[in-house]
Amino acid sequence: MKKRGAFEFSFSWLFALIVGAFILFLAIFFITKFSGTQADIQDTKNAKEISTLLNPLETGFEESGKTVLTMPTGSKLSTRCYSSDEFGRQTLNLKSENYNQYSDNSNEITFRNKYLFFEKNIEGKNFYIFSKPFNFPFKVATLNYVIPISQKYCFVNTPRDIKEELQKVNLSNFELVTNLGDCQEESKTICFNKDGCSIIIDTGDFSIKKDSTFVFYADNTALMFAGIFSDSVLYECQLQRLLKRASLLAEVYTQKYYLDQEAGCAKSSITDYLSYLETVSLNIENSEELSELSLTVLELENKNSRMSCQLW
Amino acid sequence: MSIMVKAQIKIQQTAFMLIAITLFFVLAGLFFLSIKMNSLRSSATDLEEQNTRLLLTKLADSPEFSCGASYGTQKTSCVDFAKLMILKNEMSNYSNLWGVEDIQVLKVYPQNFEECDLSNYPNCGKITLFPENSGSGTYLSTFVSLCGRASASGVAYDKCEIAKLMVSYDDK
Repeated sequence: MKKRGAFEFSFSWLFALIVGAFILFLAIFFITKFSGTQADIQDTKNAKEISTLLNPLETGFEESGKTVLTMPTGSKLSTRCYSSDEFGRQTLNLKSENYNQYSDNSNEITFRNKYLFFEKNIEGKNFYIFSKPFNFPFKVATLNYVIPISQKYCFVNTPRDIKEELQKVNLSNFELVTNLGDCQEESKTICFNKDGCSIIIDTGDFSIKKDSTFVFYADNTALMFAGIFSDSVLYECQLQRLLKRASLLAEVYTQKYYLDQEAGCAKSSITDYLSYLETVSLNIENSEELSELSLTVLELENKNSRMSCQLW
Repeated sequence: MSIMVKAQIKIQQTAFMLIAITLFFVLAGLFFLSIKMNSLRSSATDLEEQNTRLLLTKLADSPEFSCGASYGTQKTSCVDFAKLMILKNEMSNYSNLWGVEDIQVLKVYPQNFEECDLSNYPNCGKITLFPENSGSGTYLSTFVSLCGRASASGVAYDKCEIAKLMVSYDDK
């Protein structure tokens, strides 16, 4: 006999409930997966757009260029550098902030003709990208430095030529002071020939000391900025890539010299220096060995400027 | 009809309904995904086009192409004819550097469609850097100066002509 007021729970109800719950679970699972994929797609698109944005920053004969990069939300940029292959490559990964959490996008954009320098895993919504040509002694590439606008840099006791360069770039987060005490507390301090800063630059042996590691820039301002605004591992790897490109360009200029000769240009001993640069650039293992090429670079510059048919 | 048979029919009805609903959602999902994939492909092509367009404006100033101060003063949008000839013969080293399908330089005046090589340089009019990809993808172009060294009675002189720099990108 049926009990009055009792709830009848038939098998079909139970079956429908279990299957319904399963369908609901599947729907939620796929929606979560799909929205995650959409976020990754958007991040990868943004990373690609950054690499596209770098094209106009490629310098011609101008000394430097700059742009402001504004992301839709807070973003975390990371990079990896590989020095194998002809020109090596650099990858860029972007993770955007969503509900106080960074996406776990693992897709990377790869480029071979660009050289981005920045600290490990920089975060922010707005970034400055400024660029400088790397001449060795001919132009090898444009170097791009990425700095979060929120990160302040204080340059102490800056030599006049570098001060002028920094003033020309005119970034709002750069301070140029004479005494370390004049720097704002939250600033990253960069001292020239002076102790007590987080980054110390010695203009005597052209070294940059950062987090107790040294990198060398061989009196090249573009490389000096690269050393300041990036970590040492990235700097050394990018330097390898740049030297590989310099080596291939030295080969191009050697051949150009012979083509010019056929057209009737005067002879020069520049090819000896070019072939030295071509060979030694490939054998340099770290920035400390860069000084081996300093004299050759100077000599090449002198020889080229004295030629009737200049090579670059 | 017995209770057992009635219950079986009910379960069958529910099962068919569930299969129909699942099929409907799968088909709707596939339709949605194909639309999404198409829009993704088109935005990849757009990005590629934008990248090529911006690259094109600066390619002539990249160290492998630029004249620098080699022909008098520093020049922008000037492509070095000699460097192009050297690159053409060494393209295996440069195949991935710019991430484009093909790069061509075409003399605009005097028009000459003869492909350049070291035997007819500089009296030729067309340099194709990636002949294996020639004609594939979509080409974008800009005008540049094409400067090289020519010779008159054994004396070298600088010769600049108008040319079209063409870059093609892959249609996804």
